Amino acid sequence: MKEETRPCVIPGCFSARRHDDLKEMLDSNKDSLKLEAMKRIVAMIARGKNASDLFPAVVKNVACKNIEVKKLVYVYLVRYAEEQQDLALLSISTFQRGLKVQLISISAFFVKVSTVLKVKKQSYRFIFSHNKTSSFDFSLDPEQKDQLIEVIEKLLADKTTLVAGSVVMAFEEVCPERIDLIHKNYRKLCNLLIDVEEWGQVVIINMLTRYARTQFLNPNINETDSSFLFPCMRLFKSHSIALWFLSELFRAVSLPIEQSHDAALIYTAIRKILICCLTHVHVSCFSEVQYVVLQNVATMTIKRRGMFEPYLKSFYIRSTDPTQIKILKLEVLTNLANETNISTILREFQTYIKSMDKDFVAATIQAIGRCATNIGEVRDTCLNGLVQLLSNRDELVVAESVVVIKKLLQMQPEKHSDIIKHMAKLTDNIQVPMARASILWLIGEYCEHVPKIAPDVLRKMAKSFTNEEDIVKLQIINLAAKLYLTNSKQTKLLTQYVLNLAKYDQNYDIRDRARFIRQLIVPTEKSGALSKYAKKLFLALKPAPVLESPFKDRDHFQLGSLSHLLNAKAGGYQELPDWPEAAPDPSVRNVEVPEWTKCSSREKRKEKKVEKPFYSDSEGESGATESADSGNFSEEEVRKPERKSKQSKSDSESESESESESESSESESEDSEDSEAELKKKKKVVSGGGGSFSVMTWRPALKSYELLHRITGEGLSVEYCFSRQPFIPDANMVAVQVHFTNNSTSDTKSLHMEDVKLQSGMRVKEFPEIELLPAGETATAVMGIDFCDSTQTANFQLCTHTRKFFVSIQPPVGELMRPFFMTENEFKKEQGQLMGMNEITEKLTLDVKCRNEHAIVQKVTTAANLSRVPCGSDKECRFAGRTVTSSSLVLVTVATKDQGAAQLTVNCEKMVIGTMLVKDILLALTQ
Amino acid sequence: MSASAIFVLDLKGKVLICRNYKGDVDMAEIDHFIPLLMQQEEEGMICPVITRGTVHFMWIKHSNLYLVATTNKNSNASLVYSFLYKLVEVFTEYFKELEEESIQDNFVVVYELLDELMDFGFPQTTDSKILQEYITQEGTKLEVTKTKVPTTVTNAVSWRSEGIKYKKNEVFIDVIESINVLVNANGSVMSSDIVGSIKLKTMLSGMPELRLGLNDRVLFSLTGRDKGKTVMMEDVKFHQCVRLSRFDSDRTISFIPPDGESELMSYRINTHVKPLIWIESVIEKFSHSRVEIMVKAKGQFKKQSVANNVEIRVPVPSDADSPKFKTSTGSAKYVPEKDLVLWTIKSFPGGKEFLMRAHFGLPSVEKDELEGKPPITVKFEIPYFTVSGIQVRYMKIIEKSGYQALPWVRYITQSGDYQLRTNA
Repeated sequence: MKEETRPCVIPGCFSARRHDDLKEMLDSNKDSLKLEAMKRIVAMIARGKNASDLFPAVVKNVACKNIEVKKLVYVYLVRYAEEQQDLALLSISTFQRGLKVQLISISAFFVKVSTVLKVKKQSYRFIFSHNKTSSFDFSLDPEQKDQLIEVIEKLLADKTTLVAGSVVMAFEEVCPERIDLIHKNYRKLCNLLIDVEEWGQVVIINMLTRYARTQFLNPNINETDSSFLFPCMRLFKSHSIALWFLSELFRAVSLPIEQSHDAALIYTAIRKILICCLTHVHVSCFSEVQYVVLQNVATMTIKRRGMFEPYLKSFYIRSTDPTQIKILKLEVLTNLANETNISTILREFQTYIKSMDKDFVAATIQAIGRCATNIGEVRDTCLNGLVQLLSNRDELVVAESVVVIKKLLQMQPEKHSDIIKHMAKLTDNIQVPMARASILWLIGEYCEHVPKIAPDVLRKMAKSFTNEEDIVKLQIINLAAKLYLTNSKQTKLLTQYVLNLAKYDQNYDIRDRARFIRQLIVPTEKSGALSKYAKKLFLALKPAPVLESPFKDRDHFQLGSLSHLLNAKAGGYQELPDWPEAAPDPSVRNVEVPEWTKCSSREKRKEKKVEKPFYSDSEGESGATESADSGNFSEEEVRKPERKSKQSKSDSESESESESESESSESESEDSEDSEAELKKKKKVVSGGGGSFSVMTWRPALKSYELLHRITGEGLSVEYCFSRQPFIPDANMVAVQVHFTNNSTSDTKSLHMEDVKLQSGMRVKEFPEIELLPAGETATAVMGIDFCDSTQTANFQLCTHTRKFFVSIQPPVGELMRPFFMTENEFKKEQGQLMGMNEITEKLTLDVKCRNEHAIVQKVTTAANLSRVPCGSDKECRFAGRTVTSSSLVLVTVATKDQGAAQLTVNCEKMVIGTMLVKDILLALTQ
Repeated sequence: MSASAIFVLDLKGKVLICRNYKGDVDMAEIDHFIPLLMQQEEEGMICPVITRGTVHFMWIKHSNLYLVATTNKNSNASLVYSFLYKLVEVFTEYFKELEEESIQDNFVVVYELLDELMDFGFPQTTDSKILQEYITQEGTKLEVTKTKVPTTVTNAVSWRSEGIKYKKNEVFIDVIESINVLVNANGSVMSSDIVGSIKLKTMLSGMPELRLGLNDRVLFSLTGRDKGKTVMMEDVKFHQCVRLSRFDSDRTISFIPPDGESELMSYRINTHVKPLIWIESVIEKFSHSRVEIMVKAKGQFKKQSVANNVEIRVPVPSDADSPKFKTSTGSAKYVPEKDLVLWTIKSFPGGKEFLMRAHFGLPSVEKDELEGKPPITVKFEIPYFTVSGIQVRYMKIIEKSGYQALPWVRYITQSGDYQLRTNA
């Protein structure tokens, strides 16, 4: 092939004769010749040459038996079908025959060709038959749009990951305004996200972000259905490409996060984004990608300095970085500078100044200038440093320093007349126009501070006026004018001379300026009223410049987009819609299970599992990631962030949030800052915006217990409840939320714990001291207790500034565990290993009120902090958890029979816990 | 969404191959690309995105080729760059080397690949292993699989095809860590981190189910074990085959591996590591006469380990001449084109200390330009050792047929970006 394609490179080789050759070859009987011809033709197309006149000859071969020829014919058709529609239509029937052969690669080509031909109908049918979308032609006629939307709607309902990416893409292109199509699929897409190929993920997340913006309330003000954050965060574990959308995710969450009710979640998300960013900063394999990432980081650092601050060192510059990267890193470092770290950063900058890369050195000097303006404390240090640079051997460095010093001096000129003097001397040496201009401006502006030197400088400048660059000339005129106004005795003649020189300058700007200034400052009869104000005009106090990050105005572009990179709106840029004022009806996202089973043949396979939550696909042996992941996720979603604080009127339908297992492991690493955030969000009253699910796990309102009655407590009443949150400082502790109310008329001060008496092995993490609890106010604190998986009491003294009260906390057995997610198979396997002594079974008759599944789930989860295990039968409810201290499994099964009879089985390694749990659950179910 | 058209250009800007995906940008626009690039080059500020009117060129350079994506829409910039790099990766898999010649020689395949990799400006299947199943370089191969749909495209396990057979079932696990260090002139470590990856070479029959055990700190604290050294991994990323939900819930890494070579996971550890090879340098410059360099290298790792192919690059002034070296081990060489001394030590045992002295003459006339102070860089490789202390505790291989398979583990530590700033 090598030899044959080469001749094509010769210019002008596509003469008519040459094409005749090809035609002949195509008409021949030999496949090898045909193949050869096709290869040449494709090579021509590939180079952008026109091969359309061969169309009839090529299209004849569509029926060719040789698969390779056929493939190339299709490649050709995809390219030219649109130009020669009529001819191409002739070949359709051949394609359709080809379809029957079930050759996927060929039929995929067929789809392409037919979409190009806009023979839409066939392509739809095909797409359905194969469940693999290839492409749509989006340049469609309006009348076909409805049809297409219909198809997209059907395809959106498809559950396969392969389709999801393409179809969302199609949705975005064809009908992005039909957001209503997404409602039913929102949760499913969230689940599938992780398994979609990486390119598709980007599109889906883009779409979901937009969706979130239109459908959920601002998380800043209200709670949100941020369930799509979960899969997004998991993405960080699998693809580096995930970074792309971090942008949008970030935007979605870049709000005063402390106030948000999903604070912990968002914290985790942001941390992940950070870490991901940093990896890209560190591992600089593709500098273009690094470039984009750093641009985004630079924008983010402006608004959220605190987030990146701990990672300051990651942005230290290495001499091997390309210049652009260096400058971006510098930008980030400058944005991160504050009072505490400025000394380190300045030291680092000093190293950079010695670099060989001149552009970078200049940028560094500017960065120093910016640090100096932003952080008042170091202004003098920076200025001194910059003045030292004035004696540098490199002219560029000096020039850049001059420019920066000029800006700095403008802030407080009085103190620095010696620096101005020093700079005046520099005019003899520095040749860089910008620097000269800056010095002249400085001297002119502050000529009162250097009354002796200024006229002399003007004298020197007048001498060299004709040889100066334009910007310098303008400044000389400026200087002359200013001196004329302040010190006309000495400089009158000089000024006249300069203005005369300028009058005949080549540059019209300079001539113009000279004329204007002469009129303004030299009083004549003709000169108007303005000349009286000349002094005010020239010597007005000028505001100091604000040195800003060039990234300051970038944050209104979507991070990661081309527009952001260019800092200009690229074509088709769409602003993210604002959060809606009122939440649209959340129930639109609810999914009726049976509806799904009808959708396509693929679903039918799964029909037997209807009882399970829709998202949890089969966890079979074939268990690809799809099943495993969505299984877990469904659980996360079912126990979705919704929390009722105990003050809120808790109706039976309220859900209370419980951090999912996967989350807890992550948030453990979070600093204690989080616990405060947690606290805050507990105070929030939450509306049921998250919607309901086909299968619900009810989270009961937290039951609170009395720790101190207001009468014994002399006005101070204390209640506690088990918040069922992971206790962040120590995973082995049960979080106890303590709620103080000061009913007395005087303030209570320094509320804290003392003298903790515990059984051996138990540990307590005290709540931080509450310094002041004003009369009538309430406060909440969280403490952690490691009960060692027993219901022993924790005794301690609760102290105020005046009194001490002996109090004790005893946990119900159900609070000694935390939910643990497992699949049905895992459940059965584990249950099999906890037989005999570890299994306790009780028969019971269910209370009339709790004979349905909902009620059972609700009762059991109220009694014990367990999570529901998806289950194939509606006769059984299963729950799983682990004890907090020793992580022993706790498995609960409630099997219902006729007439309210039921059997309760508890499997637990810890027999004591098992026995007590059986009692508690029994009580809950029978009353 | 992303690219409108993709071009592959040679260094002069001649279009070698192009594929128009959306048709909303004039294909002739590409003629402006090279002039614009040249202009930027002259100005000294090369930017990965070039704009002309409403058309944006996003480009990367690979050997003697430019890969350019054009767009006039607000596309996702990092997606386009990643796609261009993916193109390079796929082409390299296909043609070994991606350069002008390989494009010229494989027009048809390249065009077919471009066709397959992107549709309507939107990236499609880009896994070269899967692509190789149905876009083959020899047409004859296709005949065999004529009636078979490539299952991997529609399969649940898209990264492994069924029916793979090996006589001897083995897995080779490579744990590769590279260490990035930046040391200040006064000897304090400014930043250090470890970038690690676990690579697999799988030669297993059927659809095996693998489980990998590491001494992961989170896992150990979950299970309550805390004996021995554990490793806290940050920013862990997995191959798509790993079940992330399992990892989320109990930190087990379980997966069905792709056949052949693949990268199972990568991680980054941001800890304070002691630089494995410590360099102390004294560079004394006597203006107009000579430069004297003394470099002491110390292996700060276990005595049992040996660092191989150690290369220490010490910068010297660009106008230095008449080099003279003395080394306690290895050999030193002057590389004038890069203005450095290259000191190579074939094997460097832990705990040892070596010395190199170099002497250069300087011209009596000093040049005006002030030279920068490039850092000393070090390259090395330490086999059978990981800086982070990460260990493969077990690799369980379960397959229906119940064959016995052997896992082989190899550890290696490399230098990544290893820089020590100098005073001189």
